[in-house]
Amino acid sequence: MSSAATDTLSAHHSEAGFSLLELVLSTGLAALMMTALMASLMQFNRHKLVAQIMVNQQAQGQLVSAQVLQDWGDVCGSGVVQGSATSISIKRLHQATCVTYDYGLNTPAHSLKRKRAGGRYSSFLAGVEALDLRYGLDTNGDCGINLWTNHYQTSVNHRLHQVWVRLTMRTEVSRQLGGNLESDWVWHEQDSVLLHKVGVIWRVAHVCSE
Amino acid sequence: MRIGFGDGSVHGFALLEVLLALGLSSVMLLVLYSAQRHSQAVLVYSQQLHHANQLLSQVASQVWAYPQHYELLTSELNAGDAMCLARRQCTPAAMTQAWATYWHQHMLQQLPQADLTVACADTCIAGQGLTITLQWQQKLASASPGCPLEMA
Repeated sequence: MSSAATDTLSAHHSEAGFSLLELVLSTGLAALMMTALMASLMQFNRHKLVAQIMVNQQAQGQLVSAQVLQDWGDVCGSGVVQGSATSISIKRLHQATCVTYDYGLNTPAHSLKRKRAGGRYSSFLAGVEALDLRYGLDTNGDCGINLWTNHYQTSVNHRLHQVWVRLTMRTEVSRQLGGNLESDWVWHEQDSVLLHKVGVIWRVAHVCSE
Repeated sequence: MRIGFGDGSVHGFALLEVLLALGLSSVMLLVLYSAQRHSQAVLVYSQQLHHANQLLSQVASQVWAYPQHYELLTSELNAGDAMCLARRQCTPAAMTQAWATYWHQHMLQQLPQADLTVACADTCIAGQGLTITLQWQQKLASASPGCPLEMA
């Protein structure tokens, strides 16, 4: 009896010791797996957020290009009347009449604004941080651009061939991303938005095409 | 002693379970990792296509502006004068070189081993055919060896 009791006791002791080891090992393993899974999930979440930003930037760039080119597609009369780095005046058709439209940067609202002659400014493109317009001029009459400048005024001494629209766009960023940004991204500290550049070249129709 | 033997058998099976769990976890993490890498590569490729489209549009505009010197638009031998694109009067040849330099410094950097070519069917005038080819290398996880190059 005494021997059997001792055997049972030692067996129980052995079982308890092994269970503890198991517990420690299981806990360690579970922690390891959870850490790996959490790291992987966090990485996936970050990847998803980065993908969303990039898709937004691409969509924004394409939309801006399409809107500018479409809006300036129906010029009439003298075409571009005058322009500076941040504004441009264009003659466009409106209800079969040639009307001057003014475009410019609305800095406080971070947008491009547009105004028909005699009307009021309205927002044209949203999410614009900066606008830089350059005018490709032919000043020697050889039908080739020999000067890119920030200012343009209709003149008999030169012809406008192209307008290079350089926009800096703003893209909202999810707070989940925090300050963990890609290396080539430009961050606007004050407004917590990402900045990216979009370049569109608008060819003035019928210049030197005859 | 019977209890101990029985318990030992159960513990042995638990070890096998642990090994199986470890193996399955490793496979799962490997699959997750490779899926993520592929997804990243696709994202990079998407961004490259976006840059390529912008570049092609600009190249097309400048070919029509300089029909006599369009070959220089794809040249990277002579560093162009960046000031030609900012208020300095330049010859058509200098302008095309300035554009070529600008594209190489700003846009072609985004496309690994990029190769840009422009060819006009006869003369580069409105109404004639113009072919602009832009090639670069981007390895996607599931790409076959038969198509290592991307073309826009």
